[in-house]
Amino acid sequence: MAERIEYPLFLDQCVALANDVDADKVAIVAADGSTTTHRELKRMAEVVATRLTAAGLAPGDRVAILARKSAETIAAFLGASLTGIVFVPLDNKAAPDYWRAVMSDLQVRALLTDRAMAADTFSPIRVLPLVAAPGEPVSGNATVSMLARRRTPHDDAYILPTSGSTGRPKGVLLSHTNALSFVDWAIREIELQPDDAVLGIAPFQFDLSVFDIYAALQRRARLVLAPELAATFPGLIVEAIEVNRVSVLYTVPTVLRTLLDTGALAGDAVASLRVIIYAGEPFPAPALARVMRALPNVSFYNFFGPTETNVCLAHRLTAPPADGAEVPIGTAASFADIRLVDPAGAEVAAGAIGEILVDGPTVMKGYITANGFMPAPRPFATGDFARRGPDDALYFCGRRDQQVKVRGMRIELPAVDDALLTYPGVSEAATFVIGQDLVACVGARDPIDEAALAAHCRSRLAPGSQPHRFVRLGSFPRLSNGKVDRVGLKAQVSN
Amino acid sequence: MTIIDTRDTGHMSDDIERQVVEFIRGLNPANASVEPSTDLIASGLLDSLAILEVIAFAAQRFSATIPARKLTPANLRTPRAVTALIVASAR
Repeated sequence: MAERIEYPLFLDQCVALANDVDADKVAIVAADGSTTTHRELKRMAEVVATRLTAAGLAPGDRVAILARKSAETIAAFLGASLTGIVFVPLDNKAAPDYWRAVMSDLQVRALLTDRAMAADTFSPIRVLPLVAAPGEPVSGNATVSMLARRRTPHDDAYILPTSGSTGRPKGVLLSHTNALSFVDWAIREIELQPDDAVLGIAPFQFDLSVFDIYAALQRRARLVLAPELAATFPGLIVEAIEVNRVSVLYTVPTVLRTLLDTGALAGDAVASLRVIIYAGEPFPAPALARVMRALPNVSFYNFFGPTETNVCLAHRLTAPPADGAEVPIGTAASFADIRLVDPAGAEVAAGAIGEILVDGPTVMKGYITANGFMPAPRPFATGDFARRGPDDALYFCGRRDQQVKVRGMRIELPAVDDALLTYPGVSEAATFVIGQDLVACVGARDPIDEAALAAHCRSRLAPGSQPHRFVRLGSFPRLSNGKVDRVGLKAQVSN
Repeated sequence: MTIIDTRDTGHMSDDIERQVVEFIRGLNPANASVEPSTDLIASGLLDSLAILEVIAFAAQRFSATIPARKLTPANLRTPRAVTALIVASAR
């Protein structure tokens, strides 16, 4: 019997080998229902590896990938990985000028795409087809394994362009080990099983997809690719869950709230769900409690960590949070060394607020910018602040840019947001300092009585933390990854 | 208001379509030039919060409960499609 690799060293090793008992198991179910087995996926990856090598790309070179989510796209990641070529997933919904800027800044040599475009569209970057031509050769395993023999798990594997809500995007450069030490931990944390079906909602340039793809492949669970517009249209998610008996969902709070508010979590269609993981932004406790009550048999987890460190803290919720309760962001993942420090870099006293520092195998290699490679400082300072509770869990206290002084008073903006969120009818909240004013933006479908909201804040917040002005919006602008576009929102209310 | 049968209530459907267009135009200043056949998805006018507003509008104005599984791009692509969805959901 073939020996199972317990801990793949390279992304491509998450796929079952040809002599593995699971080689003919379905690995990927595409949005159109078509399936790809491990054996087929491995073959597709080898074809891509051959195509990239034939085009003159060498280990360490970078290839951008612009495509819909499909088995072919994942095969391109794996094929690049096989040959030591570094892949860069591009935001499929962005504009050509953005793609050009990212590819130029990240010194990309070729582009694999499923779109019809002339070979010189992004000259001098060479455009290659993502999908294999009929009968396209594989140059045997010789080339691939020859290249493979020279690589190490600490080599560059992929680059995730940051969302680019401000200025020019940076690329976060990650190694095989960076991704796989997280994946290995996550599989054990949620007890992912071979009979699970993981619904992949996140776009591939967003690091939530690292879990979806490699955890599902490595554990031999099925990866079900949600249709492109699933994050917006609950009907697509309900259908994907029902048809594929999806059991694991890893997404942002916004998507879960949309599912809840449209009634998508009621009824038998989603009864196959077993685990829901949320990440990416804080989940307001009242909304989280409602989602959990709608799905009483589902285990809920919060994963926390920036793209630069991947997930480094996790929290399993044992019951819906009570009204006004604080939900921790989590305790350190088994691989992560987490410290809370003051501005001088000294560890803070028990219970005090400090910046989260992360060290461990998931910390990125560094940033790639137009000026080249900037190695990540170790430990990595996240810019996120937290305090440690008596339960040893960390509680989020805002971003570096959310701890502000207004008129001389120190204010934690997330605390103001939390107060606003407990007011009836408010579904979203974001607070900004504009000039010398604290401006509270609330998302609410119906008009809000401003005087009553102000009174509500006075009953819950210190005098120095009272908003000076309230702005109601029907909806908050969002980034392509589903998170609130705070920069855009601030600009909108500054006028 | 309850829609009883849409087969011989073409005028009523036209009226609902007018109200849907008016409602979508009012959601956002960027929607001012929306027509019954405007592709709301291609033009990026429809996000998940706008969908929630459509659900509330259908419930309040037409007592129509739109099931979550019907919230697909095909059913919400244009104001005309939204009208058909509301009519079907009010039955």
